[in-house]
Amino acid sequence: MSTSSSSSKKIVLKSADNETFEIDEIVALESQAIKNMIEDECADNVIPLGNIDSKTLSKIIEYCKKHAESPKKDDNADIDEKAVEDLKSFDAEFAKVDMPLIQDILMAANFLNIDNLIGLMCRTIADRIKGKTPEEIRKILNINKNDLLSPEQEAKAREENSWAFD
Amino acid sequence: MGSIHDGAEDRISNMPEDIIQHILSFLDTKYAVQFCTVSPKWENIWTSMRHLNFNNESFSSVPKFDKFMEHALSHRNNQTEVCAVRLRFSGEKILDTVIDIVNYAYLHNVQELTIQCGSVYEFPHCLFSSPTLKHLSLSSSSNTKSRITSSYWNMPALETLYLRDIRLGDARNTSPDLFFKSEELESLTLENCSMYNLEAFIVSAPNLLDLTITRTCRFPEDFYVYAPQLETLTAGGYSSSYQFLKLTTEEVLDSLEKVNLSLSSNIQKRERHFASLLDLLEKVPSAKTLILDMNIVEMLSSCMDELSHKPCPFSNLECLKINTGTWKGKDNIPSMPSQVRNFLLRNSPNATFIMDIPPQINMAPPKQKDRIPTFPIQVSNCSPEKSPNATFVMDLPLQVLQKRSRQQLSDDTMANKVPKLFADNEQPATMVAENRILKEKLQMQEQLVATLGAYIFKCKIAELEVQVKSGNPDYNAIRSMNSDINSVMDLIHVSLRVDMEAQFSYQYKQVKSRLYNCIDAIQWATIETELGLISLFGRICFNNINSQSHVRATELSRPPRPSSANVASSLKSVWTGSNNWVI
Repeated sequence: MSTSSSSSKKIVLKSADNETFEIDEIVALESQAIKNMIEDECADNVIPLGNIDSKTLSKIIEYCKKHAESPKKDDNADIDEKAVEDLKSFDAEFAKVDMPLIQDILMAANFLNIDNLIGLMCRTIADRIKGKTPEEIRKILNINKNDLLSPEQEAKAREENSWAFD
Repeated sequence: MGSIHDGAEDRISNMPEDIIQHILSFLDTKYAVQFCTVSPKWENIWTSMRHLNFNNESFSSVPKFDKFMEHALSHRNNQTEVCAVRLRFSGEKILDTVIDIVNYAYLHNVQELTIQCGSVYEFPHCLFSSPTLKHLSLSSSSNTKSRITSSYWNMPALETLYLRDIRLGDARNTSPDLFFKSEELESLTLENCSMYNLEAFIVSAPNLLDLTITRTCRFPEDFYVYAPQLETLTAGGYSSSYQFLKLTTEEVLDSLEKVNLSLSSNIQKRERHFASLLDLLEKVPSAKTLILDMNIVEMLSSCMDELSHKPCPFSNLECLKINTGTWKGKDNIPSMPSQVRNFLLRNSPNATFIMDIPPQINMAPPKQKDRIPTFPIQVSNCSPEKSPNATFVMDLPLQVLQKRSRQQLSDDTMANKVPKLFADNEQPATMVAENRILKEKLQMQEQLVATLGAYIFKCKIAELEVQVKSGNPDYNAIRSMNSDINSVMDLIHVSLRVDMEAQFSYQYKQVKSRLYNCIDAIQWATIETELGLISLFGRICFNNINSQSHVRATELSRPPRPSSANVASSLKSVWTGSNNWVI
């Protein structure tokens, strides 16, 4: 289904920093949360997203647009395979951003309830911490210093779970 | 969720637990457990994980892995159900581990179980009895396949089953009926599974949609299928010594839409397989898409006389695709005998016929007239009166192009096939028919033009190289090169032009990097101007053609064909032109 049709219904989203984004309804429907709002007819005007900044929101719209435009399962197997490949490489490119933005996108996708995007971001984070030591993981994820285990606590946790530390 | 990326913000600690679990579900459980030391918040998060991934390769020894498994299962929150379990194990002595994990998983209502292991000799019976399991995937080692001997399974919720490198049945049980309690089964895949000495393999699954049996050395004597909903059937064998899939059904599989048959080695005794193959095709009359590889075509070709007396098995094929990817004969272009095609397409007037020609076939540019590449006439001659609206698609390798371009020969190609090629067809040779012959020939010529064009470009690149090497390029010569290239480009059909441009700029760039120091940057720039090239995002493109490339790359249908007279005169000019250019 094409989203370029000018007659299709538009939805306006407003980011935390007051930037507005006009998108086709079909793109917005990728978000289960917005879909629910539209179905409940609470999406007539602008939808304010007070906890998502414009940088994150534009990334999310980019994602939803691509996924909304991608042909859904069709009888023609050839087209199917190509579309799946195309979407895969789009996702791979999409995830090549820095960790703070990934986490922002993940939080926002969770808020907007976009299943595929949550999965993609979780997998991306998992890939980046795979095989890393707890110390490295803290650094990658930028865990708050106040949230760290004290050396004693850490030693205790390691001791208790020594079977998992080979 | 902050709007400032100052790098000091800790976002992840504020994320809900199910998100953290989602992230950890992608990791090996060993690392998920270690995650407890990353932050006190997550000290116990792994204990309620619903995904478990065990892999002995993360451990230095098998005893350490066993110890880990034992602790992980006993420390885990017993109240939390298990959603998915994945076990990877390389090496021997795994049976007890499999039994432990299976028992635990089934006790916790697991829905998805994946086991990849070396040989366990025989999978335990407890593996095949679960009220909740929906997806089961078992892979063993291709050399020492593990066995499944259970005579039947008790898995009422099973929806997808994937078995790879598994030995099915044994001397005591030569006709296993594994799925009669799995009424929900939708997808069944048997890959490289051994079915030696099986009298029958029984698939009785009222909701089965997809049946795939690939890389099978030996099919059972009888493959019994009761699957009234079946939509897709894929069967692939790799040994010619045994019969191909012999399908037994009570009724024809009239819900089937797609059938894909292949045989990766050439058949020695084709006639032996012919009957079972024909029998198989008769079981699937409703198929809309039929995909065959060349070995299957060869098999059908082996008994052409018999074929001509057989009724066409298909009532309404929409697409017949011949897959030549596995074709081994390097020197000859695979061809599809018209009898075989008529047999398959007789009742399908609107079918699309697609045939890939493998890229390794050498279609070297012609040096003598008798070496001009031609198209196997068998590919193109089809029964016109029986398929008046069929579409003919052919994938053609242009050896000089690295990418294979698909060109669709649209409109009435098949409808207007050369009637003279069919002596037994009574087609009045009217003027209209004559025109169509011409048109048909022109379409073939068009491919030829592209092949020649590519060769001409190669010559032009060689000329350019000479100019650059001289250190003092003759810009007038280069300018005339440009006009030559453009006039050739104009003759090439738009659907092929994008590839041609890409290939030309690629070759140009190679020359430039190889001979970069022969002349200075200004001279290079002048050459590029004279050639009508522009540099765009590091890519060198044709200035005049590039702007339309995107449209061309995405266009699906062909624009109207130029009139015959135009094409004929253009062709003529290419021919004369090429004579001048060939070195």
